[in-house]
Amino acid sequence: MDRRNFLKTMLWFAASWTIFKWLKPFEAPAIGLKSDGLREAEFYRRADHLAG
Amino acid sequence: MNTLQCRLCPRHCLIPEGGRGNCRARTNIGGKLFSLTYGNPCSVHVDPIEKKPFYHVLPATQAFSIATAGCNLHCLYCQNWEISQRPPEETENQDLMPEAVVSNALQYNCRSIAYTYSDPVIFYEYTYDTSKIANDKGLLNVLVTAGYIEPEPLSKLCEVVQAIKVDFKGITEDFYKNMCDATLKPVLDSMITIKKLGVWLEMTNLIVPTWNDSEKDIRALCRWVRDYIGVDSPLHFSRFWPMHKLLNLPPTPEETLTRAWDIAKAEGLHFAYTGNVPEHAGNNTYCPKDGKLLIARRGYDVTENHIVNGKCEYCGTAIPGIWK
Repeated sequence: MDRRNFLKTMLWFAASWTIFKWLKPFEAPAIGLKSDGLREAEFYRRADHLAG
Repeated sequence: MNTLQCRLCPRHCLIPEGGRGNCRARTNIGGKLFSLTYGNPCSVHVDPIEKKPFYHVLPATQAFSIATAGCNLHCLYCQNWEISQRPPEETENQDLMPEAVVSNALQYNCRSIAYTYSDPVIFYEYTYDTSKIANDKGLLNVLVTAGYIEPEPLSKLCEVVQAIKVDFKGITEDFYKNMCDATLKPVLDSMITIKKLGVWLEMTNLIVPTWNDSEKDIRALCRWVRDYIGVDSPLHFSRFWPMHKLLNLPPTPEETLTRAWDIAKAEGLHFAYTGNVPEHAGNNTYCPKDGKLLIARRGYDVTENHIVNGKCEYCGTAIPGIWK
């Protein structure tokens, strides 16, 4: 691979990495953080003493 | 650090920060437990109430039926596994807050709201809040549940719902362990609690070939209902169809359902029914005193109704149920 093609390839990888890293087009929606999906439960208790 | 223990159902899940309960629908955020599905049903339908099945509750009316993703049981034969065995982020959910559930039910001329398909235990808060609003608007609240819930939340829920149908899946601990990954005793306790609190109770036993179809099991189940719940609570025997993780079994033979129906009557139960068997006499309601046909059903359709003011039209015997 000559120098020009090598630089093109590296540029392509850099651009792809930038898109996926910063734009995150395929990232799944944040789980459970729709405000109308959350409601604090009533029946639970703290249990650090039971955790392994 | 910040580990919580859920106390809604007998599993008593220990949930670390960011973790989920066994039901997939509860999570620990910052040391508080949250339901993940409040106001986000993944199933919304208008169904005949006979489909649940409720045979002694507002016959021939429509139930506005909702469910969210998740379940605290993992039955091998679950017919709703695509929503019950998934977390809410894997289902298509709507925004339908409690007020909207009630207004939609009224708009579609439903007489009741049914919390069903998966299990209302795991969308407890949504069920409770919606039920309160529904009561104010004159709508009935009916639950279709496995009954795998702790007594305290069940008792609170019984203050706002009027009818519960419990899936009484089997009469042995082994059955519940191997079929449902659960235990039997909490379900028995739930049915006793429901009955004691005066909420209308109906039960369904799905008969699965080779699993719970023996005469011994069916008779034991009928005797338990007779002795602990009473002869006037309807017991529906339902037919299994290959589903989910039990695709290798055949459907329940009609003869097996007829046999179960006969056993229930022989053990003294007044209202035994067969389900998923077209044209079977077990689809109908008969007067326990004079044997007359009171309600004739074809599938989910009521074709005759001879119950007047909650009584047999012929002999005047009171027929238990919610008829208005």
